[in-house]
Amino acid sequence: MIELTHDEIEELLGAYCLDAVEPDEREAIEAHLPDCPRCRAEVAELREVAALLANNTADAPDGLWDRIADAIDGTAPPMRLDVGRRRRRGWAPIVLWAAAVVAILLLGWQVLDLRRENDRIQQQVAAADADRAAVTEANLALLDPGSRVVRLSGTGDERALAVLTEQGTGYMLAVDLPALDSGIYELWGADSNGGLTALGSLEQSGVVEFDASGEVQKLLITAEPSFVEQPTTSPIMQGTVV
Amino acid sequence: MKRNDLSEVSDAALVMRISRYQQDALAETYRRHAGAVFGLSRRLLSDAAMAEEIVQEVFLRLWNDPEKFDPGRGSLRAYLLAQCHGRSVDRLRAESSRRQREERDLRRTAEAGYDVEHEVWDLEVASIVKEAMVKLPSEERAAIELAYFGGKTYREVAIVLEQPEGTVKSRIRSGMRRMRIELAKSGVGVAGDQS
Repeated sequence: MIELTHDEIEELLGAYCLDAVEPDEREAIEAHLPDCPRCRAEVAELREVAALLANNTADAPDGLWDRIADAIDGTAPPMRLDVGRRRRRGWAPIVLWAAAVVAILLLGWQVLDLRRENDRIQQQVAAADADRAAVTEANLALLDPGSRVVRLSGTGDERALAVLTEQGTGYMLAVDLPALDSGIYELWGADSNGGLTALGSLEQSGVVEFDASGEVQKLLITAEPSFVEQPTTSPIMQGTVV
Repeated sequence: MKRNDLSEVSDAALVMRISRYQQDALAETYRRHAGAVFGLSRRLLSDAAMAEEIVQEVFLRLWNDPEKFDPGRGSLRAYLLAQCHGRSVDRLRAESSRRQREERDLRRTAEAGYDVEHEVWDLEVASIVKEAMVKLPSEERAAIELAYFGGKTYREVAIVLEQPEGTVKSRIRSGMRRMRIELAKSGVGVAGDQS
């Protein structure tokens, strides 16, 4: 990235607001803005001016809204286990769920104990959004005596819980992973020979379903620059199937 | 689209509703701003079909990532138009090396939308903006128009106007700031960073 002084950046702000700077200049300005309220304020003002330049009373063409509405209808499947979409509904339901899980852990890891908490969890689930079916499924899996549970922990305070059903479906209840500047969290399954299989990527929080139909003795989480076939960093959390 | 009880809701409140998957809130946002978004993109690209694609992208992005809009940092219209401009310019720069663009008739398309009150305000604003533009020194006006409506970088503008790059860069900024002051004098609000 090119190095620009504050004055040089300030001089570019007009052009920046009109998308009239070079890509490397844009990069330098965007790196500068979060730390400079003065430049940020100027960008906000000049963007409003630019918007006024574009003032236009024409209407959008016939039929365009229908196409957008159709596209939206195709992108809002409430049952989808897409953590990214769910996360923008706010952290509160996830935090509530995480709190419920921690409470369960304190009561013990035996499946029968989990059953006692069923009513309370059901209330949590009912309070959550309708598309949080993954939580319900994970909850049912926790209550199933045939399921196996994995408690993952790391070097710090991070903890997470996963449950593997007899049918070979896994649910990762990823709780409070630290934010990554870039890259993703990747989930791995280890077999009894120590061979690792990539099971999917994780967001910072939320419930993720994964395929646990293969032999899984241990689960591991690594931070990777992108989705990779074999880990390139050491695990930040791991746990053994019990 | 028909008018509904969202017509009095603020833009920021509409975005809150969009984040809760309320499609009627997106429809109302579209009703208020799609014309301007489409108009800007079509002016830049001289191509109605590509402009429609841009409108679709901009509104789908608002649907998928409503949290990217920060009401503390300016109006929703400015945000949507900035999205539209950036995308249109990217498309323009990619396209211009591939094919010769032809100027097309910028005929209006008709669809029921903005209510009369808004339309009158828009026309009034448009006339104030035009006046403010006319008042600018001609070098500043030319640089802003080539950059904003021509989709050119300030370096390209410098070549077209046969002026030093540094001069063009300064003129764009001083012209934009002058516009802001002029518009504020005429009572056209320009929100700033509230954070």
